[in-house]
Amino acid sequence: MDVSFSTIAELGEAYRKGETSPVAATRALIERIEKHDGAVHSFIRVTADVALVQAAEAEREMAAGKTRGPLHGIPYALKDIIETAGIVTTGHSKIRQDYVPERDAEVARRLKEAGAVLVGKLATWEFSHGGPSFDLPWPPARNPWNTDYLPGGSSSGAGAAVAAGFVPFAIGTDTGGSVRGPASFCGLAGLKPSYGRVSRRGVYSNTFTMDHCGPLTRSAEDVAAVMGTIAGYDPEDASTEDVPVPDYLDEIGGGVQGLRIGLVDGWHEEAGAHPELGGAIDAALGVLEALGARIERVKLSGLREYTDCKSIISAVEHFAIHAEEFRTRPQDFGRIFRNRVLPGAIIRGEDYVQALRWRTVLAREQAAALKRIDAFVTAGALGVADRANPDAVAADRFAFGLSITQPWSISGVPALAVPCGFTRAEGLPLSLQIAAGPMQDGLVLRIAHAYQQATDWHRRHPVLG
Amino acid sequence: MAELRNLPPASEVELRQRLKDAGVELSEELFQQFVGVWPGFEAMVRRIPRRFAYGDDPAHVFPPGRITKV
Repeated sequence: MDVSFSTIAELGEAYRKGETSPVAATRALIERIEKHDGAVHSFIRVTADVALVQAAEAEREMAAGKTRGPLHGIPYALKDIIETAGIVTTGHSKIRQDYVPERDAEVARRLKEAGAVLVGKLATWEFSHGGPSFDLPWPPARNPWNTDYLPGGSSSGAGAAVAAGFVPFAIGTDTGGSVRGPASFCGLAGLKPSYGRVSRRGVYSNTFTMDHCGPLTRSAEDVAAVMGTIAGYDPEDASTEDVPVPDYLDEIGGGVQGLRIGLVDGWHEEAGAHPELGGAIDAALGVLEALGARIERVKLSGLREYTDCKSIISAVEHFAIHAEEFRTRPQDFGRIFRNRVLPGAIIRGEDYVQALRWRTVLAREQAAALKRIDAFVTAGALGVADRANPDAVAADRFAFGLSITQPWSISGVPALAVPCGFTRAEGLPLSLQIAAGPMQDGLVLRIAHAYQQATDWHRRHPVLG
Repeated sequence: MAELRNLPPASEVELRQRLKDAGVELSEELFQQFVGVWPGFEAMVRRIPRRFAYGDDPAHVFPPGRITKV
């Protein structure tokens, strides 16, 4: 059985039927990584020895009739800002290239407990913020749909590895769109969960008040399977909510009949979105409408306002995290990271606090809109992936560009990207983004699952040379 | 009172001093890179709304029960 593009659900079913096993699947994926990752650069480190031990343990347990849930024996990989005991966690940065944590991050601990099989650590933009960079100890990941292009970021390796058929799921992090961007550019499902839904303990911080861990997978159903393991209260992460975790898999089939879904007015036009995006989003809304949803239009503040607010908060918080290194070894950061974060050194305290106050205003306007609708939709990205050309990658894009993912980072609500088409010119994925109210991760997954049951964009995968 | 958005852009001399005050001293090459990106951030900072009422929601809250939960 070729497991390269199996979903989590399919792989689990194949284990139960004896069509393959955790060890066989893990070996096959490691061989695929060895064969193709030289062109994709999605892994910083392949943990083959660890993976085969964990796969063998899962196989023994299954043979003995013990089951740990839907991720038991399922291979996966972690963005390399997520700490792993005894395994180097680099942040894709010279600054941490030899750092070996003593303890697993909470999300890694939960996955280990669930019997998942860690295949390796994945490329990222430097410290989940500075990229795509060509001046770091490892090259930037490439887009498996066309390796002349990039996979987006910052969870670049996570998007590339899942799209390339190296692992059925990966864990990334999302501060301003770092799960949803790579998911969009690589044709995957990627969830930024509600703020406080998944622990960030043991994950390198970017912006304390907007950091989230989230899965990248091949389907919304697989996102639900991963969330069932990684979501939940962590007494060591004060941002996590001590509220019950729903059974996301159980709820995912609820459909969209009667739901009011609001397309946010004007954002695509404000940002000059890709010319084929409008048609793809309209078609996706048509599918949801045919399934029984009611499509409305909603008005929120512009992307400029949201992007300004997020960028100021991020620069200040991220500089505070790396201030000592900026004082002692600024040359050791990549150029893009340094220039995106260093402004935080001179943004004044009042500016930061006013941005935080503004954030509350922006979040409240979303809450007001959610009194009239159940969920928002927009594009998951404003265009297609960038070309992997160092000269074409603007270091200052963060200073001037607009983001369609950051509005939901500002409010901390769940937001999921799923593929909704491919461009005619480049053959690259386009994406739909679905967001709902705080802790309504299940609703977002339900809408996306209904959409994916009626379409097959998520079933397509790239062919590697 | 000067509107922040009407202030002139920070000069290179000012930027170098503000970085120095933050304890950051860059080579000329790295400083010039920073000079290239700062105007974008400066514009963002100057666009932040600032006219909030005294009684508006706090910018952030400190939930002691979460920090010190036993």
